[in-house]
Amino acid sequence: MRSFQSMLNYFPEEVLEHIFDFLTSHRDRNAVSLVCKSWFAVERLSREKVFIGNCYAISPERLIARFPRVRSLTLKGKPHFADFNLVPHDWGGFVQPWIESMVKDGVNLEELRLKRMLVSDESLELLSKFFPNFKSLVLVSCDGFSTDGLAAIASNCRFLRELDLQENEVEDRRGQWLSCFPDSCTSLVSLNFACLKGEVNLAALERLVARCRNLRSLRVNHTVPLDALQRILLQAPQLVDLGTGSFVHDPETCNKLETGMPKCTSITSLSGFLEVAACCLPAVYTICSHLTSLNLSYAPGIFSKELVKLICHCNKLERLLVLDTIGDEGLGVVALTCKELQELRVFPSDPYGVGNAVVTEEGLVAISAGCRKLDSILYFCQQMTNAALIMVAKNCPNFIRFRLCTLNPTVPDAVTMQPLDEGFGAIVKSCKGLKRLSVSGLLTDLLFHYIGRYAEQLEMLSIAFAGNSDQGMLYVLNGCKKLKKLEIRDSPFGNEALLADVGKYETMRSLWMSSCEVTLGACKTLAQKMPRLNVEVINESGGDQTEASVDDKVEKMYLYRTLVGPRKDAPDFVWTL
Amino acid sequence: MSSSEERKLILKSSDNEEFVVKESSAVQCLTIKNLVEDRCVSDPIPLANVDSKILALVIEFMEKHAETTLSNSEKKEFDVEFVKKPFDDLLELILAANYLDFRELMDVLCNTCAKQMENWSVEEVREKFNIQNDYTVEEEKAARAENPWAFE
Repeated sequence: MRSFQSMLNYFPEEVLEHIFDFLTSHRDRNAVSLVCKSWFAVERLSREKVFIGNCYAISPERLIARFPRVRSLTLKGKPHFADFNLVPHDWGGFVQPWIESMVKDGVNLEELRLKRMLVSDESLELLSKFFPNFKSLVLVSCDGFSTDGLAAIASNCRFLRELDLQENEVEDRRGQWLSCFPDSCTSLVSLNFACLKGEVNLAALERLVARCRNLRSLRVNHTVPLDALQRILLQAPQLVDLGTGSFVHDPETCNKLETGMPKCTSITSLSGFLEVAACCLPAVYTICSHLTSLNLSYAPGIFSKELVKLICHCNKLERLLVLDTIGDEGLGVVALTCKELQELRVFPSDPYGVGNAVVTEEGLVAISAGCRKLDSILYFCQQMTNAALIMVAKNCPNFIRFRLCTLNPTVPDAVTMQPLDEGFGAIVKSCKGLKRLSVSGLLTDLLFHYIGRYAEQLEMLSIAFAGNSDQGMLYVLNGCKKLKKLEIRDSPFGNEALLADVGKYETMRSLWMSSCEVTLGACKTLAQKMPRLNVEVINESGGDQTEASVDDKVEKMYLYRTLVGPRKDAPDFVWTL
Repeated sequence: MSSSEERKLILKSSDNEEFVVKESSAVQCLTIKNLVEDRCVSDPIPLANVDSKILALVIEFMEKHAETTLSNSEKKEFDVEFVKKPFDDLLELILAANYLDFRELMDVLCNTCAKQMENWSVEEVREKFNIQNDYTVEEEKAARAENPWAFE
């Protein structure tokens, strides 16, 4: 008889905790928490990293009651379509109540990661003053704060390791925030201020870099000139990730950089190149062969020829972000050179114009043929064909994320003029592990039939200007068992689809529908039937909910499951039904 | 060769089997190290919570990791093979490592255990650990909603 089998429910707490320490996914920690009451207690008192995918699904008070020892918190606010300006700026997602609660309950917060949240200077100040062990702040696509808030963080967070600002709208108050890092600050490992518009004190930056011997990642903004960068690199040969500022200078500085670069043997990730002079690019050729990640998507100044010259050195590349100025030919070079490529993003350089800078289905096919390890793609293109997508599906069955965006949202197959149903259908059939999909082009309900039938692992689906009838949306809701986020715009899906299976929405994180055929009446019915969903209607044309008729079509609807009922911070133009 | 390197200890399992080990290996177990430092070493040292089968395995790991001639990567290779055991054995080893306060072994075992537990359902965890579910239906329903709705 095994000695432990007689110890039903007896595993010393410290042993359980030790095992839980090595459980890295939230899903796994959630599973063990449900095993029995004592495991729930051990798990909840030992969980230090908490992920909250929708900040309105739960309240700060409940978070802290469940996980009092939380040290690292990730929060997401606005829905994804906010990236396309579909969500009004002050819709919500305020971080202030979360910070206030954690201050009040003495949480020992060390890390805060926010995406699409509203962050005020007051929030940043509170954060910097009341969490003495605060180490890491990551803000992605947030706004509401200024450089004054950053100054508070720099001044007060004595053990700051990471300040990472990605694509935020930050008001520049010209207050020399970077100079606020005290001389005693030597702990920085990562500093990213590439998205800031204003100048920083260059001398302060150089001194900061010089004294932070553990600095691994530095991304500066466009106001940092090349000669300053060159001096910084001399001070920090240990850098692993570099985001350059302005890459324009005299030949002498370019030469100095070129001779200095080979010493930066640890750099594996490169980005920036805002304002670039092509003649300076050769300075980075020597580090290209080490690069695993290259982001040139902010560099409209680099044209195809120079891009190609740069990329043909990058044979270890795993992640590449470029503009469509690279062209199909340039993508052909990527396909030949970058055999380790896992993620590719091709952004539009000219989304509204009719310039020559485009990529087509040819570039995508070339990539799929050459880069067999590809599992994640975002591709903005001029045109697409079913034949190309079928080929891509055959070449790369390992896609986890597949996002295609034709510049004209309803363009058919460029050769046959047919809808692109068969092409995308081939992708979902072939890529059995597909978790995220964005479709575009001329698409009928048939595509959604394919998605519902084959996309078994699909968690997130984005639809725009697609489908013929409610049946399309129904195929998806009925078929995709693992669907978590569905976002739809400008598609003919209406009340019948919305109300067919109201229970489905409790299995999903959220649903967004804008410029569809859904009426206010149907949304109200849904809200009434499902009290644990928040059904919000965004009505920017003014007017009161009482004035609106139930037959009015709803501009924008966002619904999500929640444990805490309707939110109390919704602005006037958001009606909670 | 100094005498301390040659000093041996006798460990006795719960089922009365005796094992001779070098003191220099055995002190990786803090429980034993404390006894040695406090000069409370009896002869043999009884380990009431560890049976012979498990103790033999612990000693195998202990001696491998005490070998100064092995590189870290060689030790890692050994670890990879060592943990290829039935889940029940891993759990017993974990309990023994905890009782003996053998940090290195704990880390390797707990890490292995956690990796095997990836994507397990709640039911699977209960079964493999032999844990009784003591939630009422209502309680479990409420608990099951909170996790995916809020924390995933």
